[in-house]
Amino acid sequence: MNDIMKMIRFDLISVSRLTVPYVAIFAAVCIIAALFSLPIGIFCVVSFVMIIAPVQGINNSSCKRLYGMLPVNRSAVIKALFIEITFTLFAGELLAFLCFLIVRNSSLYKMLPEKVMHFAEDLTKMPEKEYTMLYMLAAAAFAFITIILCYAQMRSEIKSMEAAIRELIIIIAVFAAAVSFISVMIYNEKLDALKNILLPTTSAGKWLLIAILNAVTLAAAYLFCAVTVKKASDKEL
Amino acid sequence: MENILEIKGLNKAYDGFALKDVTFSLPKGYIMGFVGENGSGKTTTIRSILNMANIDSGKISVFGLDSITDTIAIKEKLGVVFDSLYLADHLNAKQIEKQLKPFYKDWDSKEFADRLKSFGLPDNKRVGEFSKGMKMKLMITIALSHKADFMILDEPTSGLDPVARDELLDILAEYIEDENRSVLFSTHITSDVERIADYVTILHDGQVWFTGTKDELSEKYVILRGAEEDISSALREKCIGFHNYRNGFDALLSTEYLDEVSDELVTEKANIDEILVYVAKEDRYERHNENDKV
Amino acid sequence: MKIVIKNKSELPIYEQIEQQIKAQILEGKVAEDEQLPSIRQLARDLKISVITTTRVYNDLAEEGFIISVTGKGYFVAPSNNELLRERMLCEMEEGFEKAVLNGRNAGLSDDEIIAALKNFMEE
Repeated sequence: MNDIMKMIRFDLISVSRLTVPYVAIFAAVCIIAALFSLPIGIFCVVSFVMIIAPVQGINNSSCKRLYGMLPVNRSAVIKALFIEITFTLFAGELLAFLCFLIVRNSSLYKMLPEKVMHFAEDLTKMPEKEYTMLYMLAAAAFAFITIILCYAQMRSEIKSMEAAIRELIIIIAVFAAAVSFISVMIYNEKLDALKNILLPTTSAGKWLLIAILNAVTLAAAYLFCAVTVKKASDKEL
Repeated sequence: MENILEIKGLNKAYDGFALKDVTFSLPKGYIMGFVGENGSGKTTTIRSILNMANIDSGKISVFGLDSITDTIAIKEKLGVVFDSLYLADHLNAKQIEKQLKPFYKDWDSKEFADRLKSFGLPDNKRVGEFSKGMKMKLMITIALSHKADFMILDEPTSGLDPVARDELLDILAEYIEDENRSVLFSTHITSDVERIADYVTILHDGQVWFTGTKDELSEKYVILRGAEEDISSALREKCIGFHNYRNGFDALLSTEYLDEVSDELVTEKANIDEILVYVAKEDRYERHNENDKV
Repeated sequence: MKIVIKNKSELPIYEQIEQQIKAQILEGKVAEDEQLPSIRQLARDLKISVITTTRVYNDLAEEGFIISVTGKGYFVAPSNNELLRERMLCEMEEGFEKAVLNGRNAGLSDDEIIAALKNFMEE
């Protein structure tokens, strides 16, 4: 076992007791909801952030002295951390995709009370085009969260947790402003070129964009990880 | 004699605190008490040994290996006991073993289980619920399970009840029965060191005030008591931490000046605690004088 | 072997141990050629420093009470004349002590006690 794997195993054992029941219940709820075609995509995203937060908390607080005494390279500790963040979020993305697939193909919604059933039925009857759009939105959300968390991890390793949180708030605010601005412009049909890139009309285009989003996320995670290893390996614990 | 730990000219400055030219060594097979007031630099020195603090200058070697470049090889054989647990509170001892085992080549699961049993530590209870003494014993169990030849304990006895402290001394006495092992033991409760330590290093204000065998220390200083008019001003100058009160004075004196002590004065043995107190007093006295000059 | 350390004693720990071991050898409580615990075992048992026990054994070996066998450890020295003589002297002193004490308790003066001793030796 190399050092990174040892660290991942270590962290997994640390968090397993806290998060395994949590993740299991959450995934089960998502899938059951999907079986009845209830809209849970957004629920997935929100919950995943809620899971990753305590996991990250553990990584940051209790382990500094531990890393001081373990016979392991600092760089392995950092790499393990980034791999954990990226993989957790990819798992979340996959779960969201799985839920969409189930929503689309399950007909259990017919068992629901009438009012809710109509709502669920609408979702299953959504045109294919709009459906791929949902996948794309979920992919974009996970890409955004992964990049944000990797960035925060980098800043908290290099500088401090406080600095990371401060910068994070600024970044999210700027990002929200930019998204609102672009949305308004697109809505007013001012940025058709951008619209064609951001919201491809064909299904294939949308899937290509999803692939690109994931590739960008991986690249960003890798970059942040490399910078952190370079800058933080010699930092005091 | 082969040294298990050697620190030469260690310098490390923080805002408002600095380790200055810290130099001492600990031979294989012995226990060293590492004492000094809170804030004297004990923890910073230990963090430097563990390569957790970036030192400004100097050289530290453990098992003859460099503390920076060979830190991983060193930590394979180094056991560390901190004043509080460094592991996740919600895990039990079994899970902790699973976590740590892959990191050490010489991990011995049988030793781990046997030690837990002999120390009376349950392996299915969350370690966060352990008492302070149990946490200390768990950290020692970990060190023994990866066959550490050198144990560093940073304030292991602070907050421990007398029974647990006595148990710790028992464990260390047993550990050191193997002459290839050493212990560096930082504490401000010097009675722990008084009996079991072979060597003592006293750190004061970031500097080594004394390092050597405990016997050398107890032969080097005495406490001097008497009436103020019976002490010559020349001898008074040589006193450390001179303290006068209504009926007389007391101070620490190096035994090299014993022949200058007049018959009216009495001397007695000084223990480590008393030495520390006088050293701290001397410091305050000097600072006081400096302030007067300004 | 029985060793009791008084922490509050004015005597250093190593001297306390030396005296007790010597006394036990002289009194014959520890047989000659008997192996003593190793330096590190003794340190562990008494919870004292290894340097202290090393000093004890070195001093005792120097005074001829014990001998060090390389690779095996420390043994009580075979009783030689010197040692026996010392033991005898020790017992004699103890006897004197008791005699003088009894004599004084009986109200004899020092001269009378000495006279009694001389009488005793002439018999």
